[in-house]
Parts: sequence; structure tokens; C-alpha cells
Amino acid sequence: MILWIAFAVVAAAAVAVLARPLLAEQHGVTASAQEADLAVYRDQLAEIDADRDRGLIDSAEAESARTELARRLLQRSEQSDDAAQAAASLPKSLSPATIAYATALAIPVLSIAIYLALGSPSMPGMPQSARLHHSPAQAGIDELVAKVEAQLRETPEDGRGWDAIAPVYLRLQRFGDASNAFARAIRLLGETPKRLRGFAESTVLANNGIVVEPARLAYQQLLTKEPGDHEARFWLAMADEQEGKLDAAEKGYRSVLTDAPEDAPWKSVVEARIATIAAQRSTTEATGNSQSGSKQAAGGQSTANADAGTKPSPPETSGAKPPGPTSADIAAARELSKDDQQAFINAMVERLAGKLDKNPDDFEGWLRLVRAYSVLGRKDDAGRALVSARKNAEGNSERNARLDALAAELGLGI
Amino acid sequence: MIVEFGHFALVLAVVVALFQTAVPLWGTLSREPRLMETAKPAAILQLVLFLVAFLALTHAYVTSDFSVANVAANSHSTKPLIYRISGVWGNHEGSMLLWVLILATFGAAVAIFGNNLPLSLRANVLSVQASIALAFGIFMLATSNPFLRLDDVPIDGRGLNPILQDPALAFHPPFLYAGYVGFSIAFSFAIAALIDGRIDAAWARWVRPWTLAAWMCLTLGIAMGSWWAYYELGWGGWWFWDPVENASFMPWLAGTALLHSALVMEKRETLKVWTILLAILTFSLSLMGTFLVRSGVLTSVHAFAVDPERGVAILAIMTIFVGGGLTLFALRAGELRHGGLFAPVSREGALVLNNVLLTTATATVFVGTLYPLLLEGLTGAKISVGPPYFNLTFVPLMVPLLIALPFGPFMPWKRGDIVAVSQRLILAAVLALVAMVATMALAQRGPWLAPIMMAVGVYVMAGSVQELTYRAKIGSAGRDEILRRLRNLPRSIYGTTLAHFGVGMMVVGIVATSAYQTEKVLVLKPGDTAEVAGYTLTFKGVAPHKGPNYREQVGTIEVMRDATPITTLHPSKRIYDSPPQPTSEAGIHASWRGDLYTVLGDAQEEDGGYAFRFYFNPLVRLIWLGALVMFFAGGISLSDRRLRVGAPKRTSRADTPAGAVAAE
Repeated sequence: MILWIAFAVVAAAAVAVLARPLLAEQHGVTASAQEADLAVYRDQLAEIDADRDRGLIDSAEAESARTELARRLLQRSEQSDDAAQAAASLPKSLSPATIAYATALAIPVLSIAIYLALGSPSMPGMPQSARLHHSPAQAGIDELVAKVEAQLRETPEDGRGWDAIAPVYLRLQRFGDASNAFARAIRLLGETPKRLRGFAESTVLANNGIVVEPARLAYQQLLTKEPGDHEARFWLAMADEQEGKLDAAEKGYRSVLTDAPEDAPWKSVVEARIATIAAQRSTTEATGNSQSGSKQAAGGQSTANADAGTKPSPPETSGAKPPGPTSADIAAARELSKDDQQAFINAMVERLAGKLDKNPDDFEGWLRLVRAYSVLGRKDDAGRALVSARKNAEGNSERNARLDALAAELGLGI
Repeated sequence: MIVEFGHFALVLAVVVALFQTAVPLWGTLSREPRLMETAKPAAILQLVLFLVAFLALTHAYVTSDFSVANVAANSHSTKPLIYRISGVWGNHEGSMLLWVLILATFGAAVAIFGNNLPLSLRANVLSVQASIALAFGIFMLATSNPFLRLDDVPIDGRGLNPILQDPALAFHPPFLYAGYVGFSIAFSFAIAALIDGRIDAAWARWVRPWTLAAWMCLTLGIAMGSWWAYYELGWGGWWFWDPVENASFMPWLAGTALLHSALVMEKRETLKVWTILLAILTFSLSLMGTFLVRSGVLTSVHAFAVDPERGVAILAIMTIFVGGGLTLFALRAGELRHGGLFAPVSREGALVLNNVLLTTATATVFVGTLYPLLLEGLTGAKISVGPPYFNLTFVPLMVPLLIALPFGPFMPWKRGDIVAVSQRLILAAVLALVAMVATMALAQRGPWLAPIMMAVGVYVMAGSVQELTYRAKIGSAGRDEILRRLRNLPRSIYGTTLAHFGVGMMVVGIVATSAYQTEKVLVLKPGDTAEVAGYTLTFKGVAPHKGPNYREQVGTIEVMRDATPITTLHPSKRIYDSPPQPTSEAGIHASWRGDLYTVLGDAQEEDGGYAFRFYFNPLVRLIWLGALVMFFAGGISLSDRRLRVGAPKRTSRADTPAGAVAAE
């Protein structure tokens, strides 16, 4: 309500200010353009005299300037403004008073109409300081965090504050903040397994899963405090793996597995890591073999590089068809046992499907996916992929023709 | 509540601008003084309302009211107060509000100080001025409303780009806008004259102080931007011929030309048509600057094409005002009477030369700025036009301008004697030669053109001072006579001398820095030393430090010269909390000789060393000092009675001339 009264007062004041001259009595004389011009010339004449007195111009210059001005003065006093005015004059169709009343109506109506369309009159202002003084019961987690943050800015040496907020950050997935808060809590209050664990975990997560040096040190420290801690050992093994120390990593993973509880849900994760290491090993061996084995392939590659100019092509995903197995993938698949091979191919196909999900415009990718599903014997999936491919090729007769041909070739009856 | 009140004030201000556009103009067309009289209260009211809106938005920023979308998107509660305030115009919506606020300020100033203007001229000027405010007001309400609210109020804002959190940049936009927008007054006066079909005798007198004030603000604004780029971006450069910079530089060049041609128009009632055209062009370039910076067309023509709403709106505004102005000019310019004649060699001739060279220079910058955009728009090819283009086009235009510059003030009106003036400038030429030889002896390297350009800079400085000594008859008159003359000289002459001196300082600074900069990139371990331009730098180490909303690694470098400690520099690398963005802060030691400029680079993993970049920029301060001198010169000139008064007040006509003589 107060807001609307304020609006009314301001609008009324505006109208009053604007309408006043319109409702005033017609005042007799207004400065005519001619008079103003003449006044300027007289002023300039005086200036010339002043300049001459100061010695800025000599008397000959002053004299010629005076003559010129005098000529302008005469000219101007002979001309009247009326000719120009009469030509431009419009009929006075509306009296100023009418305009004043129209203004008094139009200004409030127009401004309030526009405001109503754009404004949020029922919304109160919400300065942050006021919002943070709610009772905590009403406040959401965000506000509580903000409150603690504000407090910690005042007293950054308050370790308990950092200790309290750090796990909250971690849960809110603000990993960088969590890592920082755990680090401060450790510095101010000392190391405990809980803080070390929190610090290491949030640091790894903040770095997209890379076990960076501070996190590795923290896990090592955690192991001295809680020998045998599975999590710490797992991540230390992961650190080894990321550094390329595959043997050490595998040893670490296996040691985690040996004394893992029977029903530990994370066992499969560890096993997957071991499998990956095996795959990685065979990959390196395979690429080693193929490089020494086939000179022709290497020769072909170098020509391609030459075509591309001096820029070295990126190692894996180079080439025109991004989704699809790379040569390293295929080499890896060759080295695997039959069952593993099947799993590997399945994973590859899933990856391709995932990529097409994100980038459905890749027509060649769809062709490969349909073919891959049908080779794997997954006819239903192949059919579905074909439908998706058709949907994406809508309106393109050339592509539709190719899809038809493919469907006929593979015996997919759609 | 305050936010909504500000919003309503903004809406009301736009409606008042509509009134102010229509009613006074109707008044002049129908010869109804009461309608014309409304222009003054409307202009003041419009200023008050825009100011209320601006203060309301500032209040929202200061109290971190994140229910306002604009505040949530551009502020953060941990920002220091000064950057919460400068954040108001550190974003598109807020800066448009500042833009119209300054526009309204200039309009209100004309209303308040323009009591001596003929009524119809004042009505027309304020009407045109309000039409600009109306266009931008509608633009704001439709596409860039700073007062829109959020239903889902975030707990904290997204923060201001850290590189914008800097004192020089905080106050760079207000000055820049005051410059841009100040030229709107010249534009409004030009359009008003065209509407009336005649130019009042005092037209140039009224236009000049406004143009001068706008020019001063623009000079300072550009200098601040360049100064900021110099110490914040950490490249040691001070001008990059970047389109954003050019966008402010073009109105400056045209405005400088306008300032000079208005002089001719005032004194000789000639060059009228040209001055009017220049006034329209200068403001058009200001509008174009706003368009380039605000539409996003510079980042990429394609980004503009994807989200064209704002850009197209500003383009439409620009087309209406530029196109309308030029059309009106084409229709009416023929009716304007031409003025006095003059010989080619004369003060007028010198000022015409100034105008020709400055407008040509503006055109080269215009081409260099817009050609890449046009090419990208048409063919999709991305090219960048950089310093080589401008060195080849802009610089050659500046050389004759600078050489002719000291001649101008010596020339008498109507007809002059170039030989006599040359003789007066012999001393300046001799000093310039000395400077050239000294440069060659000191530097012994660098491009062959550099000593010559140094000589040109010194010649401009000396030539400007010589004008003063000549007018005061220093060397030929007695001491009392000289003092009397110095006291009696009008302030506008001091203004001219100082401004031209500032140009010379700038030239010397630019040439010295460009030609004789020393650069060293190297890795230092704590305890290592390096030699740069006669300084011995010892790297002491790096320590962490925490600011209000950033963390930083601060390097410590001890600077010695001839075995005496000079200073300790602290270049640093900062990471801001929100948004987390790194910036580098240069450590700069300033002296008259030049700046020692140090930048801390990345830590070298293997050996604990840090990469450093060291520059020595000789005489670089002269660039900004020159700009500052030009700014103050404008102020001195503005305080000159003759410029300030504009036209005599009819009530005090009798005592004005006498008073003027007595006072000065």
C-alpha cells in the first residue's frame, strides 16, 4: 500500500511540475532570436576592444574585426524572424490548458500501465543482511551455509566453523570449497582421520578424480592413523595407476580385495580397475607390436600427417569419424579372450550409442550402430537404432535410400 | 520496496521523456511559448527521476539484494563496497541506466544554465535531447530492464568479472559515457538549428563549452581505460587498437575536430554547415561506439546474430538518429547562410587543415574497426586489423597535423604570413633537433623514424609554450610588462597552450615507449638476480596472501640501481573466489625515466623457479600525464568567462563587458 501511495505522490508531483507552465498566464515578452543575436554581437564587439587593450591583437586587426561585426549587426537587425516563423508555423489546434489536462491524465495512466506490465509491486526488497537474520528453522541449507560463510569471513581462524561447514560443502558438491575448508580445519585443529578423509576425498573430486599430490599425502597420513583403511589404500593404488605405475597399482588393488569384507559393495569397482589395468597393459603391448609389425600402416599414417600440415594430429580421436573404435581399441580387442572380446565390443557399441544420443546428426555413426547391433545379434536394438536414424534423416532422400539399402542387406524388415 | 520505487521512477522518467520530446517541439512549431516553457521543468524532472532509479539500483547493489536479477547476475556479497557500487555500471543493463542518467544530466544542465538561450532554441534542443532519452528508455524497458526481479532468490550473486574489479576501471565508464553522451548536446543543438532553419549567432558559443566538457570527460575516460589496460592486463602495452578502444577513440577524434571548427564558427561565422555536420557525425560515432560495445557484435558477428534482440534495437536507434540527423541536414543545410571569407593561410585555414586531417584519421580508424566486422558478416572470414594497419594509415596523418599544430595559434584570422610564423617557431625547431640528436645518442638502437618522431613531439611542446612567450612578449619586454601581459591573457589561451603541450607530451611518451621498450622473459629462483635497463632485480620469493575476495601468490622483488636500493616490487597472481578466475597484478616502479614493469608468471615445476616478464617502458607516464594535462587545459578553457557565459544575460547586459575586462 505504501508503495502505491508513493507512486501516486511521485506521479502527481510530476504532473504538477509539467502542467504548471501550461496553465500559467500567457507572458508578454519572450526572448526573440533576433534580440539574442544582437546581444551576442554587442558582446563580441566589447571583447574585441578588450583584446586590443590587452595587446592580443593590434589595432588594425581590431578595426577589421569591428567592421565585420558591425556589418553582421546591421544585417541581423534588418532581418526579422517573422518570415522564417510564419513559414514553419502550425495552427494552434490545442490550447495549452487542454494539453495540461491530457498530461495530467496520460502520465499517471501510462506510467502505471507500463509499470504493472514490468514490475513486481508485491515483492519486498531482500537485502542479504536481512535475509540472513531469519530464524534458522525457516532457513534452507543454502542460507545456513551463507550465514556460516559470513561468520567465517569475520573470524577466519575459527577452526570449528571450518570443521562444521566442510562436510556440508562436500554434500553440496562444492568440492573446491570443501577441500579448502577441510584444509583449514586441519591446520587450525589438527589432523583427525575424519578430516583427512574429507580433505582427500574433496580434493580428488575437485580435481575430477585425479589423485593430486596433496590428496595422496593425506591418504598416506590417514593410513598411519588407521592402518588398513580400505578407502585410503584404494585411492593410493589409483594414484599409482594414474602415474602409470601399473604393477604397483595392481598390487595395491589386489591387496584391497584380499581383506575386503565379503559383501562390500565397492568390490566390483576394484575388480573393474584391475580389469582396466589388464586392458591397459595389453593395449601398450599391442600398439608396440603393430608399430613394429606393419610398416605400411605407419607409412600411410605419415602421409596423412603430412597432408594435415605441420600440426601433429591428436593421438586418439583424430580423423573424420569421431565416434567409433580407434585402432588402439581394435588392437586391444584382438588381444582379449573370446568372452572379454564380446564384452569389449559391447562396451564400444554402447559408447557409440551414447555419443549418438548426444549428437544425433552423425549419420555415418547411425549406419555403423545399426550394423554393429545386427552383427552382435541384437536385432531389436538394431531395429530401434534404424528407426532413430530414419527420424534424424527425415527429409533427406539420399540418406533414406542408404538406410533402405542397409535394412535390406541386414534383413531388418522395417 | 526501494527497488520497485526505482523501477517506477524509471518508467515515469521515460514517460516524461515522451512528454518532453513532443510538447516543446509542438510549441516551437506552433509558436506557443507556454508549450516551449515546459521543456525546462521536464528536463529537470527527467533528471530527478532517472537519478532516483539509479540510486535505487545502487542501493540494491550495496545491500546485495539478490532478488534483483541484475544484481544476482553481476554482484557478490563479498565484494568490497567500491566494487559493489561500480558493479552497477559494470554490466549491460546498469550501464544503460548510467547512460541515460548522464544524458538527462546534460539535458538538465542546458535547462538550468540556458536561461539566456532564445526560448525556441532551448525548447528544440531539449526536445531532441529528450527524444534520445526516450529511445534508450524504451530500449531499456523492453530489452534491458535492470529492475527485473527473481522469484527464486539466490543466496549469493555470480560476481563481477575480476579484471573489472579495479579502481581505474570503476571510474572509467562514467567518464567515458559523460564524453559520449556529452556530444549529444552538440547533436541536439545541431538538429535544433536545422529544425529552425537558421543558426543563431551565439550557436557556436553555446555548443563549444558543452563539447569541451564532453571532450574533457572522454579524454580522461580513454586515458583511464588505457592506463587500466597497461597495468591490469599485464602485457605492458597501453593501446591495442582494439575495436572497443577505437569505438571511444573515433568520437574523440571527431569531437576534437568539432571543438576546433566551432572556434572558427564562433569567431568568423563561417564553416557553419561543416560544423553542424561534424556535430551530427560526432554524436553518431558515439552512438556507434555504444552499439559496438553493447550489442556484442565485437565478440563475434555470429554471437550477435544468435542473440540479436539488443543489437538490433540499438542499431535501430542509431539508424533513426544518424539517418534522421543526416536527412534533416541534407534538406536544410542549403538554407543556412554562409559566412566570412578567409585566405588559405590564416587561422581559419589552419583549423580547416586540422579538421581535414582529424576527420580523415577518424575515417581510417572507422575502416580499420568496421572492415573486419563487415567481412565476417559477409563471408564469414575472420580477420583482425591490428597495429600494422593503423601505423600505416593513422600515423602518417598525424605527422603533418603535429607539424602544423604550433602554426595554428600563431596565425592571425582571415590572412596570415607563414614565413613570419615560421620564424617565430625557429626556437622550437632548434629544440626539436637537439631532442633528436639526444635521442639518437642515448638510445643508439631502435627504428630510424623514432628520433624524428621524438623531435616532432618536442617541437609541439616547445611550439605551444612559444605561443605563450610570444603573446607575453617574453624576451622583448620588461619584467612588469611580461607579468601584466601574462595576467591579462584570457584563460582560453592558457587552455590552448596547455592542451597542445599535452599532445606533445603524449607523442614523446608514445614514441619512446613504442621504440625503446626493453623486454625480458626469464625464470628466476629465489635469490637469483636479473639486469633490466640498468636496474638490478633480486627475486626474494613468493608468499601467499588473502584479500577480501581473492587469494594470491605475491612475489617479492628487490630493485637496486647502482648498488642503492630503490624499491621493492610485488607482482602477484590472483585467484578470485567468485567467479574463480585468475588475474595477474603487475608490480610497477614508476620514475621520470620510465616504468619498470614486472609480471609474475607460473611456478616452474621442477626447480622451484618462477617465470617472470620484465619490461622497461621509457617515458611511458608522459602518455597519461599528457592526457591529464589536456583534461586540465580543457578545464581552464572552460573557466574562461567568454566561453562560460555563452550569451549575455539580457538583464545584466550593461555591466557584462566592463566586468569582463575588470575581472581578467
